[in-house]
Formats: sequence, structure tokens, C-alpha cells
Amino acid sequence: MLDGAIRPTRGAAEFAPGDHVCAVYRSAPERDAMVETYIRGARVAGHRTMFLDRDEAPALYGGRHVTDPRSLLADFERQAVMAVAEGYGAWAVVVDGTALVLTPESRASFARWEHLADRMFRSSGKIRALCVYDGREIGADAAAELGVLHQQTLPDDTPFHLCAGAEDVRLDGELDLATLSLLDSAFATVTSARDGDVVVDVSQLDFVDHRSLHVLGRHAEAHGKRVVLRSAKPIVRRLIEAAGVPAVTATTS
Amino acid sequence: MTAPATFRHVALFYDDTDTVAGQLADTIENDRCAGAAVLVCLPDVLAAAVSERIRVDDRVTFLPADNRYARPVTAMHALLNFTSAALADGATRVQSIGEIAFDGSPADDDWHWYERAANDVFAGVPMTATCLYDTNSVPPGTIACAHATHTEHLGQVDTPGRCDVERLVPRPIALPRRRADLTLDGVTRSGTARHALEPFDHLAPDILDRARLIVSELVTNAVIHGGGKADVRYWHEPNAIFIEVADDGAGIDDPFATLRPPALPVRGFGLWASHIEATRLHVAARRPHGTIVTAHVTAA
Repeated sequence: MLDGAIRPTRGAAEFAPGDHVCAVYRSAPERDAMVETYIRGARVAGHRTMFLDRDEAPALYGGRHVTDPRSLLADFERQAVMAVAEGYGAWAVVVDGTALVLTPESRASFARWEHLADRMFRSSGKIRALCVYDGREIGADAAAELGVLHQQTLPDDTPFHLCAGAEDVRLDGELDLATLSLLDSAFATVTSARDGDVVVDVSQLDFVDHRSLHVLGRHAEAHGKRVVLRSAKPIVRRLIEAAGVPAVTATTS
Repeated sequence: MTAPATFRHVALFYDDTDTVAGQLADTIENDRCAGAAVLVCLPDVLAAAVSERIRVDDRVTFLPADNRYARPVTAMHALLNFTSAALADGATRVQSIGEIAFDGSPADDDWHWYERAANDVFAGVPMTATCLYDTNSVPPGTIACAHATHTEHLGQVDTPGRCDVERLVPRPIALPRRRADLTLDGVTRSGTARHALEPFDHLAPDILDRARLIVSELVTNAVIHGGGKADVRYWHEPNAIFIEVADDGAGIDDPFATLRPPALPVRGFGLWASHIEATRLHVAARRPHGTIVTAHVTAA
């Protein structure tokens, strides 16, 4: 599960430890059905389950995802270790995060948390998570902003993902003019959430244009960092050179 | 003393390697003393003869001529990179000494156009471009074009009367237009044009990667600068593809657009990257208004 390869799209019942999935619902029955399917699938797989409803999530997080994300991550890790110690295969958590992302500011900080959690879930291999959001309340743009930071989205209509991978992060899908603002917010989240240079596995990236590369370079420069694209196609390397993209380099391996 | 920020375009006609090597060595030493950075792209024998006569240090850069002069756009790109790095590094001027391999083929016309474009592209840049012409082998038409496109002429060649650069070095001719295998009208998303390349997946992966990038950048240009949408046509050959992207925008006035290096934050990177990836790329006006860009992508 840590091989960085893109996995085929699956329904809500068939996820594995390490998976971090985002789902956007448009009605209460739709949400309930999605959550129930996910939790039933987890139970059948022998995973302990927890569901944090939309009014429970803010209370449990207590703002720590902003003020002290490390301690919150450690709590998640402890729960998972406990579940495994008790014989479960993993800990499966479902969070309705709607109430945590209602303003642009809270959404930006929750996006950073999603990115940190995404990396921890993947590397721990003992946690699987489904994050659900009310699409009617947060809007399509916010839903997309949060969705691309997950390894998969339901429904699978996200043009790309910027999520935990074999390197620091992994980019898949296609990046062009249509995804420019989405990439801008997602990469801002990633560069602000982590220290040091950003190594991106692009082996599953189907397409990138010069404007998207400039977005990566701009964020890296603003933070005094560099972006290294690993497993890049030769054309991506040539494009970086031709378009004079600052702070971005690419390697083919 | 600061060197004037002017572009000098010198044609140097020669018929003897040793003589011209000595001449170039003197030029290089003079430029070095004046604080210039020197770029040398010459055929191997001549490059060796020059290098024996000069101090080779980090003020003088040798680049393989075959590489730099693969195509006009790559030649321009290499010179741009060298120049911006050298000037940023404190050089007062750039001296670029090069020799293009004219051989009487149709590609010669592209190189004549390149020499003409250089006057416009590098206007105001503190650079001397010294272009060598071996009078033993260069076709006569090229000698006339060299007179027309260069502002200074050195060497033992009779200067023809007045040179009409418009007549001698006309705009590059359009790429052949054939019946389209696939037509997409009113494209507003570059992804639509990229995904439409699927029927051509028998072409080499490298050709398809380059085609995808080119059509994507050109459609994006049309969407942002060319009126919001593009008409795309594809037609193919056994191991090559033509891409035509037309828009209804204001059009591109600049006759040297395909050879003008882009600069932040202005536009131009998409066309530049497309030209570098294409085997040939041509920009034409569309009637009543707009732009048609055609790219030919063959195996590299």
C-alpha cells in the first residue's frame, strides 16, 4: 500500500488501511447511506470504527488541528495502536468536517490538517479515514479544494490529487488552465504545512502545462523552498527549462 | 567604461580557417579585456583552431554547434540562456561567435529568417553576434541574405548593391494544410483537445506527449488571449502529426513572435514551449481577425 501507485476507484465499502478518502454529500440520506456503507465495510474487514458527526468533530478536535496538530495526530495514532493491540486490523474513522470549514480561514487551516493527516494515515498503515462534507453548505469550490488533498474522492470527479505518496507527496491526474486555482490553493497548503523542500512523485501525473509549473515555482519561491519532481517524463523536464520555471527541478528517476 | 547597450550583428566572410581563427582570437581577447562574456559555437575544426590561440577560462564558453544550431528556436533559446546568465553574472557585453551549416536545403530559409529576427529580438541588448560564412561552401543566395540581415560585414566578399531584406528574406512559408482527420470547433478547455488525440495513439509516445503539450498550450493561449475559444484540427502522417489551432482574437502583430523569447511576467511562454517541442511551428493571421498556429510534430 506504500508503493505510490494509483489505485483503481473503489466504492465506499472497499477501502484499506492507509486510505484517506473524501466524499461530498448533497442530502442527509445520501450522507447516511455513504457512512453506513463505509462503516459496514470496515467492520466486515475487521477494523474498529468511529464516526464523528458534524457537531461532534469540532468538540473532539478542540481547535488542536490548528494550534497543535502533532498532539492530535498522536491521539489518532494511539487510537489506532490500541485497536490493533486489541486484535482489530485497523482503526477506521469517519469525520463529518462540515462545521470545521465554513469560512475561508478555517478551511485553509483545516486543509493543512488534512494534508498532515493524509501523510500520517498513509505512513502509519493502521488508520483509514473517510472525510465527508456537506456540499450544499461549503460549496463546490471548497469541496474541490479539500477533495484534492485526499488520495481519492467520492464521487471520483476530482481532476487531480495532491496527497501523500512514495515521496513527500504525489500528484496524479491532469494539470492545466482549468485546475490552476485549485492547484494554487492545494500547493499553498502543502508548502505551508511542511518544512524544507517539497519532493513530489509525478509518475502518475498524466499532464502538466507551463502555467501549472509556474504555480509550483511561485509557492516554493515565496517560502524559500525548492520543488523536486520525481519520476518526471522527459517532456516535463524540457518544459521547466523552456518556460524558465524558477525553484522547480525534475528528475526522471 | 560601460559598453553601449546596442546589438551589433556582424557577418564575417572567410575562406581560410587559420586566418579567420587568428582574427577571432584577437576579437575574443579584446572582448575579454572589455569585460564581455564570449560564446563560441563553431564547427569542430574551427573551434579547435580558435581554442589553441586563446586563453580558455570561464569568460569563454564553447558549445557544440550541432547542438545549438539544431533548429532556429533552440539556437535562440541557447543564446538567450547564455546572455541572461552572463549579464546577471556581471559581464558588460556578450560576444556570440557562431557558424550555421547552410547547405542549400529549404531549412536555409528558416535560418535566414532567424538572422533577420535576431536584429529585432536582440535590439537594445548589449551583444555582438558574429556570424561566420565560409565562402568556399555557403550557397550564393545565403551570402546575399547575410549582407541583408547583418549590420556589419567583414571579409573579402564584394558587397552587392542595396540589399532588400524583405525580398531576400521573406516570412517563413506556411506548413502544408491537409484534410483534417479530426476537427474540434469552439474548444474552451485544453483538456478537450488533449483527450481528442486518443485516436492517434499508434504514434510514438514521445510524439504524443509533445502533441498534447503543444495543443494544450495553444488552446490555453486562445482561451486567455485569443477571444476565449479555439478551433482545432489534427491531421497525421505515418509517424508524425500536424496540429492547427485557430482563434478569433486580436491576432499577433509581431512577425518574429515564434522566435521572440518570453519574459516574465508577460505572455509568450506557451508559444515558446510549443515551438521548442514542435519540429516546425508557423504563426499566421486568420481572416477577418485572429491567429492560426500550425505545428508539425515528427520523431525527435
